[in-house]
Amino acid sequence: MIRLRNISIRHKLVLIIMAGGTVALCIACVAFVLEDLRSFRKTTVEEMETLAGIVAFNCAPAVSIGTAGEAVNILKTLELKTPIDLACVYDREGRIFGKWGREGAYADLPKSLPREDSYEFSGGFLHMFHEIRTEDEKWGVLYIRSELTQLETRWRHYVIITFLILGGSLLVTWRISARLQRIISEPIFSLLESTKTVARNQDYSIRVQAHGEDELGLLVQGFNNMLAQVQARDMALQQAHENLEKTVEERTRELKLEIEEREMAERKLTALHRELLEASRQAGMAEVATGVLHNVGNVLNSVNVSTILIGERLRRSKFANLRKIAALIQEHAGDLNRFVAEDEKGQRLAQYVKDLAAHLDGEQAESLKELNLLTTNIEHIKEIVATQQSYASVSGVVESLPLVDLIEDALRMYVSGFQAKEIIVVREYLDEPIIAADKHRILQIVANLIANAQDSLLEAGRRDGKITLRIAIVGEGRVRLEVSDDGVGIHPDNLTRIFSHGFTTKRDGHGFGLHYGALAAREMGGSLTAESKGENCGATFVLELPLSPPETSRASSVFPETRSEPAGSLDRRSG
Amino acid sequence: MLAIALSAWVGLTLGQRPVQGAESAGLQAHQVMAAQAYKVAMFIDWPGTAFAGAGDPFVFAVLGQDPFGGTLETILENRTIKNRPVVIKRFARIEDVAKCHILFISDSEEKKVPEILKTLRGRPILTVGGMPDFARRGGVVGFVLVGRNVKFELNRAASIAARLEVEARLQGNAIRILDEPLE
Repeated sequence: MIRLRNISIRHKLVLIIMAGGTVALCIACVAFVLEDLRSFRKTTVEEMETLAGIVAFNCAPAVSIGTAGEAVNILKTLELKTPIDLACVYDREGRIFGKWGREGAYADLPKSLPREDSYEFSGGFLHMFHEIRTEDEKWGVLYIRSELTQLETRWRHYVIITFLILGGSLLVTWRISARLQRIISEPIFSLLESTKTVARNQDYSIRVQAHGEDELGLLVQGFNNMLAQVQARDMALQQAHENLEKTVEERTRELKLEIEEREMAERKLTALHRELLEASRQAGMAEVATGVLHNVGNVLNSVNVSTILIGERLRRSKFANLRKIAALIQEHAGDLNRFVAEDEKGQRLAQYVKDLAAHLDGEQAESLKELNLLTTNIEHIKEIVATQQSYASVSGVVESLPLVDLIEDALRMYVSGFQAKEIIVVREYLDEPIIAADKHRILQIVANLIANAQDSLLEAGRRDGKITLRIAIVGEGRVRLEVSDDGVGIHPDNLTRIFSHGFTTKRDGHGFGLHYGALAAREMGGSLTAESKGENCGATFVLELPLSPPETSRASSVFPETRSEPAGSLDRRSG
Repeated sequence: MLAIALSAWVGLTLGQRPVQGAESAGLQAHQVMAAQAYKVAMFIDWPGTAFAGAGDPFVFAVLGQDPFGGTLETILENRTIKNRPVVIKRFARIEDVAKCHILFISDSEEKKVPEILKTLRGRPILTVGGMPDFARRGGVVGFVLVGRNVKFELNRAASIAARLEVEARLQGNAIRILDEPLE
């Protein structure tokens, strides 16, 4: 079957036609022969029946009357019919009444007789039985045997004829089909050739000539359509390709330009940002420096006062009296005992020295006290300067410390200012938590908040201004620090804007402090928010911080180095 | 062989009745003749006028002294000829002969044969007899004993005269066919 599949369509067509023809012819021949043999047999039987009928009719008197010779005479007439070679008449008891056989015939008479007219084919003979009767009675049976050599001869002839016809027709069929198969195979071959050419040359402009409107014609048309489509698509593709190349080129150029522009802009932006950052930083430092110097100045006042006081005291000291006593004692060096015991002056001397000592003691205590204050103030100055130094450095070191100390630290930086301006500081420390954080940052935020509150009070022009500091633990592991003042307050429109970079309501402000504070708080995993009922209603700044810093915020800086971001969207932290 | 067949047939027909050795060979021969007459009649066609209608019986008649000894009824009992039931009649004299189809002329009437045949001339009656030369003398069928077999002679002229049609297939079975008309 596979081999058949691989042979040429030309041979396949011839084979198919031949096979079909052969099968059809064989069926026709076999059917014809079988029908002919059947009809021949039927004819033979009919003929024999007629003959038997006639002979039986003629034999009836002989059998009934009993003239066997006459019966045999009648049987002898069968000699004229070639295939008949044996005939016999039986009486009604089944005994042989008379018989005739062709010379050399095989005289084997049937052993038993059928009850009625019948025939059978057996042993190459047709055996025919016919009743011998008159209208009124049955007298016997006639048996005629007929050879079937004719049938065999006929059969043999048919086989030969069939083969001859088959051979002849196959030859003719082969000749015709070999010629006719071109009707189908030629268009296919031409199509095949075309497809080969198309495949070899990649030439889609080739068209196959269609021969008609049949399936092959449609196939060719379809093939041509396909070629046309492929060609069109090819051209379109080519065009598209060219266009694409052009477009890509253009786009690449554009992109290159764009990228260059963007890079330039970015560089500019980065530089600008850096400048801005630096400016902000310097401004911040300047503010801090101003505050610090102010505070240092204040403390220096106290130092000055203390120094003057000490100087005054030293000037007004009773040391001179001590010298007078010393001179007196020296004067009475020879008779000191007497002087002390007898002289009035001497008698009072002891009391006087005692009083002087007491006075000097008090003087010394006061001086020491003042000196202590002086020392404290100088320490304070040292601290302020140290804090300022710590401001300047970006430490980023997390350490555990009491929040209250931090607040107090911040306050101390402003405490003399408060004293001078008669600002009341109310401390409402509901909890005194230990916080693990970068203390410099918190200090910076809190100092900024306190400075803002102070400025707000100053601006309001109130002499009895009050700043309230509240510490409370809220939620799980979070601490809330509130810095409230009853100063100028914040307009609702500005509640969020105050945290924007460069926004300020102060005449000499630079809009950096709160922006920095909010960012730093966020960096530390906390938040800085503002609340105010409106202008002249005071304001509360709330700093919420975790008691321990979030893991991710460690060692991260507030300002990314290269990129600038809008203030409100620092969710993404660069590390 | 033929005789055996015939006597067997007759014997069967007479089955019930014991055949006595005393019975003459003549009676036996006559019985066979009766049977043969019946058989021959099957191959002879009577003119339509011979029968009155569809139900008209076939009359087998005997003229003169009955040579069958009363066995004729037994032989022809329940038989038909030309699909008609057989009726047996006996006539003593030619004058008595009424309508019949076969007339067996007994040997007793041998001397009157010419007269009888002349009387019956033109009537469709099959005349049979067992006397010598019966057919030659003008009878249609005459039985002859050949050895122990009963054969028959046929007078074609007589049959034609009696308007009887003798089938060709019967003729081959006659030992002699005569064409002698009645004087």
